[in-house]
Amino acid sequence: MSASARLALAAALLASGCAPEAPDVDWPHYLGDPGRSQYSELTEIDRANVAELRLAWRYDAGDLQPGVSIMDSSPLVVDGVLVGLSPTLAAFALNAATGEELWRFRPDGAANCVQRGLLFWRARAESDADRLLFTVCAVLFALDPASGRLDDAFAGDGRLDLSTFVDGARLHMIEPGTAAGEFIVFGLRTPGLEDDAETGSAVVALRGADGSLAWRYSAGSAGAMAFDAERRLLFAPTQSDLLALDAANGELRWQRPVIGVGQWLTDQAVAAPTLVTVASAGVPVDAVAVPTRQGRLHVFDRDSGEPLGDPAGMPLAAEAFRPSARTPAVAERMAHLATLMEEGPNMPPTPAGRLMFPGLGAGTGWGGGALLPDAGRLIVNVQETASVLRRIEIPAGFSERSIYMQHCARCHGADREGLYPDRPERYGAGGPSLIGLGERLSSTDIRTVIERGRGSMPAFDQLNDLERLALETYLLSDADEGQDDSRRARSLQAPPVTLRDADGLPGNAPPWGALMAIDLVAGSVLWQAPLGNYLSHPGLGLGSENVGGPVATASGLVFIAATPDMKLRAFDADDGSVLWEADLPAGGYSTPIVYRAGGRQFVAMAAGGGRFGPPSGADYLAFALPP
Amino acid sequence: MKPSPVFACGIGLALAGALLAGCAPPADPAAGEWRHHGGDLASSKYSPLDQIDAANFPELEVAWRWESADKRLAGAYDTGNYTATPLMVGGKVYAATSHGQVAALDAATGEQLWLYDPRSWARELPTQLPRRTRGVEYWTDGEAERIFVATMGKQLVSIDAATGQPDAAFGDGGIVDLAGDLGVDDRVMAHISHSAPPIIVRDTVVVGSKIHDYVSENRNPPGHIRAYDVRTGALKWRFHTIPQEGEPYTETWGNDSWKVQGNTNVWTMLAADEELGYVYLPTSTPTNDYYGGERPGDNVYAESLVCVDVETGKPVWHFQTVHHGIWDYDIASAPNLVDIVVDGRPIKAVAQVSKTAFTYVFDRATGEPVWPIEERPVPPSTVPGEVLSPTQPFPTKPPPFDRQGASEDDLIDFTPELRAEALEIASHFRLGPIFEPLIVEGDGGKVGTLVVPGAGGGASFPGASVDPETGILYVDSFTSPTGISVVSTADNVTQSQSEPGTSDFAYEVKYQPAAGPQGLPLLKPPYRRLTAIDLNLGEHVWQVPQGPGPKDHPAIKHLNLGLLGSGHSAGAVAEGGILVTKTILVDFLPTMDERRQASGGHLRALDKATGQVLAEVAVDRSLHGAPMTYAHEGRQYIAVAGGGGREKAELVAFALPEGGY
Repeated sequence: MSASARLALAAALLASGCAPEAPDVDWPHYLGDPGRSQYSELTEIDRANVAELRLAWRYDAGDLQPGVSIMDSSPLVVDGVLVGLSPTLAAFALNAATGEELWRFRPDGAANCVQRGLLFWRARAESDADRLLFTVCAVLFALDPASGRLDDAFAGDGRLDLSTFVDGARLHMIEPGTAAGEFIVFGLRTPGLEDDAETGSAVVALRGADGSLAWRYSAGSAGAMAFDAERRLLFAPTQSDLLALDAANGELRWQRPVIGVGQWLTDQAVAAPTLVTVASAGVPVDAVAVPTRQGRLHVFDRDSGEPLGDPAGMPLAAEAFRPSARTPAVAERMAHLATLMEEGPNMPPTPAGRLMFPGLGAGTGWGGGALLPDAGRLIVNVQETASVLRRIEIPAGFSERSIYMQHCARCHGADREGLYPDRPERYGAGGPSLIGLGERLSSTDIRTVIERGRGSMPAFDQLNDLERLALETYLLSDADEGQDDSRRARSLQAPPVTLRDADGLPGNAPPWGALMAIDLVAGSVLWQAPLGNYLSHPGLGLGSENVGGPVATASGLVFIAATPDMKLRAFDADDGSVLWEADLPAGGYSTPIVYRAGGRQFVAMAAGGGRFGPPSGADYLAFALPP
Repeated sequence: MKPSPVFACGIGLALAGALLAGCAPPADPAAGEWRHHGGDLASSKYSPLDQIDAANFPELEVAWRWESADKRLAGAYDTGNYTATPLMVGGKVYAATSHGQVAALDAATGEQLWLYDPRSWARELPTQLPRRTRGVEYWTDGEAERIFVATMGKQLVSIDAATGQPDAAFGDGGIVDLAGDLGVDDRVMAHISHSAPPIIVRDTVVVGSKIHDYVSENRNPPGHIRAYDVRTGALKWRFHTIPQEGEPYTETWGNDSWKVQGNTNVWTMLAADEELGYVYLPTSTPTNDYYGGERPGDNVYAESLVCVDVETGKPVWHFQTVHHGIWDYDIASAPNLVDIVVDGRPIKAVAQVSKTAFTYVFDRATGEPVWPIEERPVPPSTVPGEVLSPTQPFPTKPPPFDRQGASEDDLIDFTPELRAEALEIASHFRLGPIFEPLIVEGDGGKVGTLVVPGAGGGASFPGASVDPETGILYVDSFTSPTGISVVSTADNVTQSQSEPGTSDFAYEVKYQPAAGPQGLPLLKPPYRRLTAIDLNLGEHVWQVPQGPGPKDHPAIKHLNLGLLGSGHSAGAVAEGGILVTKTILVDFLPTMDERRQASGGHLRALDKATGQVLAEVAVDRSLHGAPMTYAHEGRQYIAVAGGGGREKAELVAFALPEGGY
């Protein structure tokens, strides 16, 4: 948005009688600022009044795909305008105070990709223009923030295919880029080509003014970067290391291992680093902190890269697997399961299942940490779950259809059309048709029915994993498809699953999800509170799996959603008590933002759902105190 | 007799004028509202509206559609057809989705005003099919307005009709956990859920339950009825459908089976009399629908109509329609409360239609039968351990509205060849009148008993409708002969046990295919019928077959038989219901394409005097819910739920073209 457009908007706001009582405070960067603080200086909403928070506006971003879509995006607020992305990555702009739509932009081409945020680049010269940038799969779009139109002054027509910088067409950008002075910087990563850093992955810096390449550093990079403007240093997390790059030329300053992920747990999202200040021997040190999927917090001196505190990282979660003992039955089953499985990190899956702890999705994910700078405190959400990795050996002579014929055809017919197709209502007289089952039931639902039975159908819990997987494969295949793969032995790696008990709750000892405050000065955990519940067990209080991050305010509040119980909560940053919660129309698996517009402080976020079961959502919601 | 269009138009305008003037009292159904699932607490399914009549019925068009908000829950468990009946109060339509979400819609446009999701879908998966919520209940004290829903996730929810938010004063944040208050703590709770809406009378919310039928264990949840304070959600009383320690009738549950038996629930809708302060409970069969050897005795209050004082929860009177039931003859529908005049004597009556094809009619205050109901001898069982009641009740009036029992005379005789084939098939079954005992498979060389009307026959959950102005009852029924035997659980895999010898019951059901020759039915038509019964006289007024049935089957097409009635084998299912208005009856029949998939629906207008189809309107949606009607701003609407499963689930509202009424 140009300066004149900003003035025009301000004039419009004044003319409409919405004269701000206090100056607007934007949220112009992903996670708040280039240091990824996830922090707002606003104090209008505080411990005393947070219970009064109400829904101020709600915007349907459209493009909902029920049962399918997710929406991870965290929006920006620039000059009183909120910009965000729909589930299919259409961009939109709203009056941040009212939720009124100002424009929408539909990127061309299929958009079966996710994106966690946008990048605003402020013009640095009179000849430049402000730009709103976001990626859809491999393509970077540059828009005029005032109109939502493609900005022709960038890369020719406002579009830039980032896969031209790496040798891979499957580039799937998930994190927004980072504004670093005159540059905009992106971590590029091609799934499957991470090992080939020369061609597969890179960090590239483009000139914000025209999209031309400024520099390129060959290294796998996944997460959002933090930028230290004073030092002109970029901190880039990869699957295995934290890199410090000179933002001027892309030269590597230092590199430190932080994660140690092996080949069986690739594609793990990593948190954006947070620029913090810690005390080292009583002296304040500018540092960068990274919480990891392994449930550890690493802190490094920004200049030297020297680890501060425990070089192995400060533990935030349990180090070893313990089976859940939520009920005697669960304890018995989990202990039994654990004996069947080999445990250990970075080892290949086994037919019996390898138990991995922490599991996939555990520790701290891309939600990152929220900093309370004055208190020297970092708030992070962590998850403690175990994963089971299985290799399924399929012997020769085995076909999916034969499993069906053996167990199911008696009631559902040899051709899956049901035993009595003319009497579909009489389940008692034979099973219903299973044709097109995949359109009616999710694979999870199918598995549940097979394992537990339904109506007059008995449970088929005697099936082993191989048989059940084969059955699911057959039931989800088209009726006419040939199913004879019986002549050769095969092997397939089952998708990693979270270890769960019979009720669908995690099979490890709770807490399964927690919010915790880390005292960066003392290097210790200040408090820890259970985070989230499951809709099936809404009062359990043992925490839940969580996706998305927290945001903190100077008034000592922490806002976070992230949980399957579809709530947005406000925690007290001093003791972790829950001060307020609101139901969201779908799970809020993104990071909230905090801003002031039209004289009011808002907490806003996308509720995209689509994880841990239905529903999916397309709403952005903004909460504020009653006017 | 059809009213002339001019006459109908005049009434319509007068009604519109009354509504515009705002002089219609809000509680008067004449205002065109539909406040309860059955239209009123009496479950009449009647509306005095008359704008839509037989003459203009063909002009009906779709005024609005509302796609069920369950679309957003894609990935949650399957709920099949969308059947919930909406309400209309004060210009707002209140609709439940199959997953128990509740929406308020603009009555003129169908625009969604609010949606509340109690998140029932995420809770424990109920085992009993079908999994769907059938509707909501409305309550007001003149100021506050509440919408209540009982969910499959065992929640009783009170929603503020103004805001769509749960009423914080009710239960825990607007929700009462129905897993509690049952008085038992050792039952498998996945087997109990809620599908029918609660009913509210005298500020008391009365809730039934839906309980899994096919279990192999004792200790299935019992169907005790619970009542809650409408404002606070505090439990007011619990009525034990299976009597408990110290209560009357435990002696009708031999072997102390009252301690372990379950079911005996009210899974269907309820009816109530606000003035008397009574609620009427139609109960179902005890656990193990088809073998009662472990529960010797009459098993009171199973398969009974129970009148309960809504203030105290004490039974006022009850009538057991089947003693010691073994045929799954649940009472499947709400009774109809209707004021009649018999031999010059005015009676506040209650009429209960049933799967037995009987209509049981009582004085609803005293429980005295309006016409004698005789206990007649019935045959004993040959199944080891099964001691049947020596008698069963037979109403002397009205006559049964569907075929009861079967003899060789009832087998089809369309052609001599078909009759010979039918005789051969029937020879494998034990035939006999209603209440013919079940047999052990193979006993006497028979595979089982041919049970008629059958558990899927007679009057199912849509029940009957009543015109309170005439006292005429309209009931839709099926003839559904079902081959049923029992088998020993010691050495058979059964519906409920995959390992022999693991059942608590000595015998369990085994269905025996009883299809007739060449895919035709085994018994003579009709297979589905609509019957009008004058409750003042206890006599049928007319009876007509519903739907074409197999009249075009190649083996009989040449006989030009006319309508035979579309039974279950023709793809018909017991759903929907009869809407009675001042002018017409409204219902629908399923329309099947060549793949037996539902292919749109046909809303029909029937003559109240003859049952003849007077007009039809086609719609591109299979229809499944009970039709309801309301008037808003001078326009009459008929709304029906349809679709679901692989189809889009939606409410479809029909009305005459604007300006055309």
